[in-house]
This record gives sequence, C-alpha cells and structure tokens, in this order.
Amino acid sequence: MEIAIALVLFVGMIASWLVLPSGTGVPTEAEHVSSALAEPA
Amino acid sequence: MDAINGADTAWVLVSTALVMLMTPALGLFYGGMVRGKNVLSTIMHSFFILALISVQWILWGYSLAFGPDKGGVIGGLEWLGLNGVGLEPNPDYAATIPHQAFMIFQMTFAVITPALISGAFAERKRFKSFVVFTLLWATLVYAPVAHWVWGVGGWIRALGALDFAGGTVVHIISGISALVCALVLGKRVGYGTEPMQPHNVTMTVLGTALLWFGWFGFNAGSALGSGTLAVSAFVATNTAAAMAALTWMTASWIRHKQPSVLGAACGAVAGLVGITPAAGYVTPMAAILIGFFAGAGCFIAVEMFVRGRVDDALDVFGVHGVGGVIGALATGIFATKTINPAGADGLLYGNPGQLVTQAIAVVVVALYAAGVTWVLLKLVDLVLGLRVTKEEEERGLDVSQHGEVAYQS
Repeated sequence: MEIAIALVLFVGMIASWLVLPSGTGVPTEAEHVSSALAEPA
Repeated sequence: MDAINGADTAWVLVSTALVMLMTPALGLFYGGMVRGKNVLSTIMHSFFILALISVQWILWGYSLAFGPDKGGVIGGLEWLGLNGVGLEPNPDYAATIPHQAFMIFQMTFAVITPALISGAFAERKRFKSFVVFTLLWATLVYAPVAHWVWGVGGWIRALGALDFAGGTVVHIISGISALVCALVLGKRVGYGTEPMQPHNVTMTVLGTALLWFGWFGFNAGSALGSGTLAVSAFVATNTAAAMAALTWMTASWIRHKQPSVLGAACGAVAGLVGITPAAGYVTPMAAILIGFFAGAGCFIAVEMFVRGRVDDALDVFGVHGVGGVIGALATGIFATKTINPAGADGLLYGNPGQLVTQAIAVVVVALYAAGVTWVLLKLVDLVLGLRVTKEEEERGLDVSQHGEVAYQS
C-alpha cells in the first residue's frame, strides 16, 4: 500500500516537471516571505 | 555497572559534533535570507546561542531537563553543575555510553532549539533583549518540555507519546514560539511595501546542505547507539528530506512557474523536520510519505496562510511549527514495532490510540510554549524593550547592534 502511494507520488511529480514551464526568465523568486512581499501591499 | 560500548560512544560523540554544526549552519541558512545589512546579526543569533546555551546547559539546563523527576513536570536540581553526571553510564537514558556523552549530545538539541526561533525576529530585535529572552526561554520552556517528553518520569513520556529526535521538543515549541515572537514584535519597517529580497541564496543553500548533513547526527544519533536502529533512522532521515525537497520544489514550480532553488532548500528542511519525531519508528516507504506531507504541508502553510499576515521573517512557524506537527501526527500513523520494538504501533498498524496520544502531546506542548513565550516577551519588552529603534532598523542591525559590516562596498 505504502509503496504504491510512494511510487505514484514520485512518478507523478517527475511527470509534472516534464509539462511545467522551464522558467519564465523573470526573477520573481517568491519562495520566501521577504521577497514575496516585494509587491506593494 | 553497565559496560561502556566503544562503538556506541564513538557514534554518539560523532553525532554530537554533527548536531553542533547544525547551529552555525542554521545561521548560514537564515543569514542568506535576510538583507545584507542584517546578515551578521542573524548569523550571530545562532553562533552566540551555541556559546550561551552550552554554558547554561552545564550549569542548570541539563539538571532541569533530565535530572531526578519532580512530579512529572521538571527535573530536580540534584545535577546542578553536572554534580553526579560522570563518565559511568546512566541506564535510565543510555546504558552503553558515559552519562556525560548523553548529556553533551542533548546539549546540542538545547542549543539549536532557541536558535530556530531567531528566524522569526530577524532584522528587528535588540541584541540584549535577544540574549535575556533566549536564556529565560531555554530555562522555562525548553527544559520543562524536554523533561515532559524525554525525561524519566516526564508526564508525556509516561503517556506514551513518541518523539524519537525532537519533533515536539525541538520543532513544535520553537515553531509556535516563533509565531508568538513575530506577533508580539510586529512587522519589520517596510514589510509589504518595499522589497526584502534574500541577499545571498548561495549562503542559504550551503546552510541547508550543512543542516542536512548534521541532521544525520540529530536523528540517527538519537538511537544512542551504533546499531540497526541508527541505520534505520539514518535511511528514513535522508529519504524524507529528499522527498520533501522534490515536493516543495514541484509545488512552487506549479505556483510560480519556475523550479526554485530556495524552494528545494526549504523543502529539504521541512522534510527533515517532519521525519524527526518518526525517524526511529517508521519504514523507508513511510518516510517517503512523511516527506511528501511535510513538503506539501509546509509549503501550503507558508504560502497561503502565514505569508503576508504575520512577519515570521524566515518562515520558522511555517516550516518548524507546521512540519513538527505533521511529523508528530504522522508518527502516530506510521510507527511500527517492527522497526523499533521499544516504540509503539501507529494507526496503520492497528493502534489508533497512538495518534490520539500524539495529538494530546502536540496540543499541550504548543499551548504551554505559546503562553510562556508570550509572557517572557512581554516581560523583556517591559524591562529592556524588544525592538531596535526605527532608525537602527533602517540602518541595519549589523552596524546598529554590532558595529560591524559583512561586506565592504
């Protein structure tokens, strides 16, 4: 059971990388709260 | 007298050194995420705590946390100044290593826990207030909670809650306390209206790599021996960190259209946090699932619930608080005695009560940490003032608090 879910998650993520954009080329890094709030409130 | 095992002692000492390295690594992790004018002050928070709590632990911290039990809530003062804590094993805690080896290993946990909180008040807290708060917090929050969960006679330990390496003792209390700190201190000047970009993501990734490395000591070292349990915890630790890094990066890629380096780093830390309470109780497959839940859960918490509402400057609550809760509850789901006969079975192995026990421990510890942290902050604010002035904040804490600058222009 656990191995089936783990496999689906892992393979699913890899598949998603293949279809996601490879980058916008715009430095909009927003992982972190500091930079995420670069936009005016 | 119990016999000292050389391999066990060597592994615990190596693990102690690994965990010690995590605190300056945390300084790099946090230091890269602040603005350049605050990098030294941020690194100093971690580096200084390493020295401060090292001495506090020897003098009274260890005795309060692990000393002879007083009513299930605190250790006694019998071991003050390491009185009676010698080189013979203490079978109550670790039968095959010198008692001082166990003590110094535990010290590294006491050191990193308040250092984790420092990410929440980065870029705006007065240094002397930070020192006093940290000392009080380590004494009145960390030591009692460590006793409840790990100390012989501690009431949460007696309840049967599982916390292999500090999901509750380290991450939940630091994460919740960080949230309280962020709320009490308030937002940084310019928060939400001006850019506050991480000034050096390279530094953050280096810090992450060193944290990951040190975490092998944190979790596998918590086996307190060099046998199979340490190996199992080591495998689970690496597996969860890796899965969480992939998960956070994928989530941020979907949301922000780019595979973020900082996202992969934050994800790895979230996975390490999530697996901490479970490391010595779960299978590698469960570690993958815990890594996934920690990566996804912390990402959602940071991106959708905390960010913009509270200035938890370096996402301590979102990663350590939420990750710690996920890990603690996951332990109640995935734990199995086939990995650790001294542990317990979780929900998936026919024991739903373990999940309830884990939840009770989470709630009580979180409430206690939040309440005492709030009181301590108010007291320190009353006596010393928590925040630097607006001018000092705008100038940067490196210059205003330490009279130094990190980078010469």
